[in-house]
Amino acid sequence: MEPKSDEWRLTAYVLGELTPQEASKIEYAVASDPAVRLAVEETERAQARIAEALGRSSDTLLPRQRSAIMRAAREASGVAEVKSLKPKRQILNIWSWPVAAAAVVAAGMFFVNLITPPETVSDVNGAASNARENGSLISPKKGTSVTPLRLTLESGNKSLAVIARGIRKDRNLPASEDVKIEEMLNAFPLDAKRSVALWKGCSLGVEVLRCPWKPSSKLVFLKVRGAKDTTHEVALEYQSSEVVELGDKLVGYKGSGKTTESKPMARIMKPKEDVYLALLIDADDEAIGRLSWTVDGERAPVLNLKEPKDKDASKDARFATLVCGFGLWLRQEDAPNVDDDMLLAMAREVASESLVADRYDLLELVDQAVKLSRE
Amino acid sequence: MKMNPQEYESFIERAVTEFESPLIGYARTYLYDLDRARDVVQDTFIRLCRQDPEKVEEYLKTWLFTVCRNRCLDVLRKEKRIQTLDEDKWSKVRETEPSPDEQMEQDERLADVMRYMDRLSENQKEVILLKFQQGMSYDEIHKVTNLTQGNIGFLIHSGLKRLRELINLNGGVEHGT
Repeated sequence: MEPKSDEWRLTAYVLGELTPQEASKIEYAVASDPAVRLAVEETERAQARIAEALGRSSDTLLPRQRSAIMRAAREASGVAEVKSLKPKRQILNIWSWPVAAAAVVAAGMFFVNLITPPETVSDVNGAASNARENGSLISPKKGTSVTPLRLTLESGNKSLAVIARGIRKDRNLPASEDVKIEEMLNAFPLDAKRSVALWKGCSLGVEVLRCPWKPSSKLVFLKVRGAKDTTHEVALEYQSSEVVELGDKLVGYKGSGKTTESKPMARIMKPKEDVYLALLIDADDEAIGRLSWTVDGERAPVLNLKEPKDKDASKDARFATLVCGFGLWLRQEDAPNVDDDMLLAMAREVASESLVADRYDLLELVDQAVKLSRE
Repeated sequence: MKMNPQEYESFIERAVTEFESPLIGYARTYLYDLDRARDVVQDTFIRLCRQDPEKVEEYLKTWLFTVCRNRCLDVLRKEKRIQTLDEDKWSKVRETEPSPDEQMEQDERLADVMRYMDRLSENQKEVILLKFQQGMSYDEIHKVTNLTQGNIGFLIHSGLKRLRELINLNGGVEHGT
């Protein structure tokens, strides 16, 4: 078949995209048909002109951007090193935030219980109590076994309003003690539903993702929601096959003192009431344990915690990650990992989506805070 | 991951050195702004750091351009950019940073061609950029865009034809001719 002058194959021939067999047919046509030859020459001129005009960019990344990339590479390459170390341990770090309806002020007790030898209960509870009283980090001794962990949750979102007023009106970054991550998260309605279990009208949802500022760790977002019309008592346990050390990052809330209770204290969930919990688990395995929960004392379906390999994090998870990162940045905790570049990278990722007003406000606040810190 | 940490960091560094400029040029054709293009490219490389290098090394170029493209589209979707002929956005190509005369001339030629490119369909524009600006083969373009190779060939042909008509109608691309 003779190639016609307007066939797309002529363009492909000029661009070197034909097989040798197809190319030889075009060459024959060029030699024997002046119209084909003219079409080829015009195409060659056009593609040369456009290629020259488009050219190749000589722009490069800024030095700080290159640094951020290499930092991410070093962090990621550090995962390979961790894999060669032994023993494998999981360190549990917890943020928690209640997202009850704004009118619900009554504080509840919410427990995350971990399988542990009973003789360590008082040690770890003591440590946890110290952390709760001053909102600072605790560093447990290695080899300390897990214990039931009680979290005292306070509703409300005063912390974010205080931070915003300081940054916008007073042009000051907040004091560390004014930054309460669970309250910052409480200011936004968030969901976690990559895996969901239902029981007696209540639901437990979870989403697992890799921590962006610490790739050797995973962030786990949990949401417990009450039933539609009835009140239920809900208790939740985190279980792991590995020895779990009680880690740091009980950030920003105050507890009521020591306790030696070994059983979880259930949370009374009013109709449609929500409770959110965020965990940071230092584990490089794909499977990082499971959630076991009860409703009115009855065992509900267990949820296995696993980082999905083929799914991007949800918008809510990305946003919650940003809020947590912002809180850490403000408190200057984990400073090498949550620096300006990491914070802004997380903000940009969130900014690429369609946002409601309150989330957009947070992005502006992050931007203003970073600028203030550089003045 | 079989690479040791030094090998892994070298892999990332080589990828940045080789592809930062082409990716920035590519992102600019979507975003029309150097700073935003740089931000998207930075994000692209940070995402590369989260991948197993053995899984992406073989087709690194197409992986990077695919992710960069998706990030650009995310930004555009967020801003709900309407792709119309717009002189103002192309002024940014010239005004972003000071440049020597030769670079300014190149920017002006680029701005002219991009104005004409804006009259093509999104698919035509995309495949022409990947072919002529980034030097990709039809097969590589297929991996980035998911268009079939036959479709790519037709889009490039029809897009080039349309560009020739527009350039001829407007008296050419080169200045002073």
